[in-house]
Amino acid sequence: MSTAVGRSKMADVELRAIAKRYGAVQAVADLDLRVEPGQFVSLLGPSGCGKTTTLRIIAGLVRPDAGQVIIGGRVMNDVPVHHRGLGLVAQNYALFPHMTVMENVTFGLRMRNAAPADIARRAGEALEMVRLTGLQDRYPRQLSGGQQQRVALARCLLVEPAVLLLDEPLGALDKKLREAMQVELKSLQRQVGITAIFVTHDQEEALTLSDRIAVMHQGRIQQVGAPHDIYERPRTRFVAEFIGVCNFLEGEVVGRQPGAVMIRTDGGALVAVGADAHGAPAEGVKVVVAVRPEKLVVGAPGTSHSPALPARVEAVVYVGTAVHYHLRAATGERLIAYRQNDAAAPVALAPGAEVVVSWPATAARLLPDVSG
Amino acid sequence: MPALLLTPLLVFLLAFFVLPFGVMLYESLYLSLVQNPAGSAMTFANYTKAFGDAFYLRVLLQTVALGVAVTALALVLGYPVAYFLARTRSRRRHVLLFLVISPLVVSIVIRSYGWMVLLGRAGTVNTLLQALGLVERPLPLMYNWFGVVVALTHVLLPFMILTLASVIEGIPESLEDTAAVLGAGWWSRFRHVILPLSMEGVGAGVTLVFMLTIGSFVSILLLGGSDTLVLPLLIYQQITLLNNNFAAALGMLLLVLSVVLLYAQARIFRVRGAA
Repeated sequence: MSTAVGRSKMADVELRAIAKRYGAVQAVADLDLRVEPGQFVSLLGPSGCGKTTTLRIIAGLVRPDAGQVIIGGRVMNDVPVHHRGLGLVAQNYALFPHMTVMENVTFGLRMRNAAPADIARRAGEALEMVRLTGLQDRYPRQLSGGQQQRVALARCLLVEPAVLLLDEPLGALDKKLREAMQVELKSLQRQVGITAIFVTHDQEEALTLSDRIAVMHQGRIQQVGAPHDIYERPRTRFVAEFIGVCNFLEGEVVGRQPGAVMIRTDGGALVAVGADAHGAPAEGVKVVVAVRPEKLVVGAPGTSHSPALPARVEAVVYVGTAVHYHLRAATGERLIAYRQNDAAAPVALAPGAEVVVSWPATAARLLPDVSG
Repeated sequence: MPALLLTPLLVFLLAFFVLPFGVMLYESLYLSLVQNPAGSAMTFANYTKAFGDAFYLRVLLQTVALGVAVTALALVLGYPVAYFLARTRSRRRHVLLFLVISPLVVSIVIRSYGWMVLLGRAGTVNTLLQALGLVERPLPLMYNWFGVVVALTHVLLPFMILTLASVIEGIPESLEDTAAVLGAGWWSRFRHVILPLSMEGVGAGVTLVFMLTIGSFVSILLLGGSDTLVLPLLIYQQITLLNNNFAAALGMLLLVLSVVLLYAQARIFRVRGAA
């Protein structure tokens, strides 16, 4: 990158045993996280999971009770927020309403007492990069949501931050605009090559944008991994439930075969789950079988291979690109199955229809039986 | 008909506000029987007297100067408190709020008496200063401008603080956070973000406190001295001298002063970029 705004420092971020308590609430507990230089990492979780507190600790806006914040190899705990050299795009962008676009964008450089000629040149380049040339004298309220986001990004990138911190910047936008902004955000981040940490409660947004996702729950990181990893191989029930939709069958290990584990569900059905020999739990252990709705195969009785659960269709929801079947297994469990609305799709099943539900053993995941 | 709901208030204001001002304006344009027992034609004599006489002009300037002093003091002392009040998440916020408005829950006479106990020649402050050996003789803290400014600042501070706090509360904290991350220390954040965005509150607080100061009477009567003469006291003097018409003219001056400030407020204290 030859532009001023493109000279990112590409720092890595490391959090070591971070903890923060607010009164009786443990907001963040013993949190470790490594973010490689140039990566886009999302902190994903429901509200109150500690993701925003974690971001604010990295920024220096909140002091952790314990642990270390290391940015670019330097321990930052005692460096005040305005000396950390970071960039923040807050919820609703937090543009200064009493400043023009130009004044907003140059704020950071002015705080650093940069030379006026330097400020003007770099601001011009930054505005060009985010396609805002010609709008420099507008006030934020005179801009569209997309333009506001680009001002916030330009304002951030102009100070060449070591890390870009994004605190649900797209939270206030409607769905269409949000999707457009996601694409724009990601391409700009790639172009600049900056390390980015993104806080969101929107799992789709996290899946779309991130190189890696850290799923948080009750102040702790539940799982860190690439989007497909998090989705296909969730390690806890919480992660499986929070990312996408998932069916859960609670049961007990009753047998082991090469490459698979046999489970007797609490309802009495016998199902197989693909598992390698090392990770497989012993017989008698309580487990949870997790299967994504799109992996379930719903067929007429007698047509399916085992394991197959006899079930009845309770409701059919047509969502355009797919049909969702809400099912009740003969053994009592509730299941949901998605069928892609493709050209080969057979006539949709009606509520009350008797079916059998099956899935490839490798499509199911075995999770420890602990809630949360 | 929502407009109908305004009628009672409008009738009230008409009877007890607009009408008296009309009478006052009318009276200010005639000489009193004390000045001219034969009665007089319409004249601006009362106004030319107020502006032409060095004594009255000094009273007018003293009134404005007192307003400026109390307002400036209230702004400087009140802003940090207002900011804290607006931003704190403490559960004891309501205690602070009560402390802030506490001057208003005490009657003006009791409050002034309290200041007399503190500021008198043998008052608490002087006793303390002498005991500590900081002064040899008691300082003149009362029956002068000092006592007046202290007492008025005390009672008018709540108006400044509450006005500012409500405006500061409306400034999203994310703006301060963003400014901080972008490299602004606390002074820069105040100077470039909080202060400019709270200008409307500053304007409202300044106007309120200034108008209340130039119209205040009892505190100045009780804690002031012979040289702390301001318009309200002068008006009272003139009424006791049966010179109602000159008093009316002085009253109009007080009113004009306030109206000019109200008009200026909307012009001066504006937030840039606001809709």
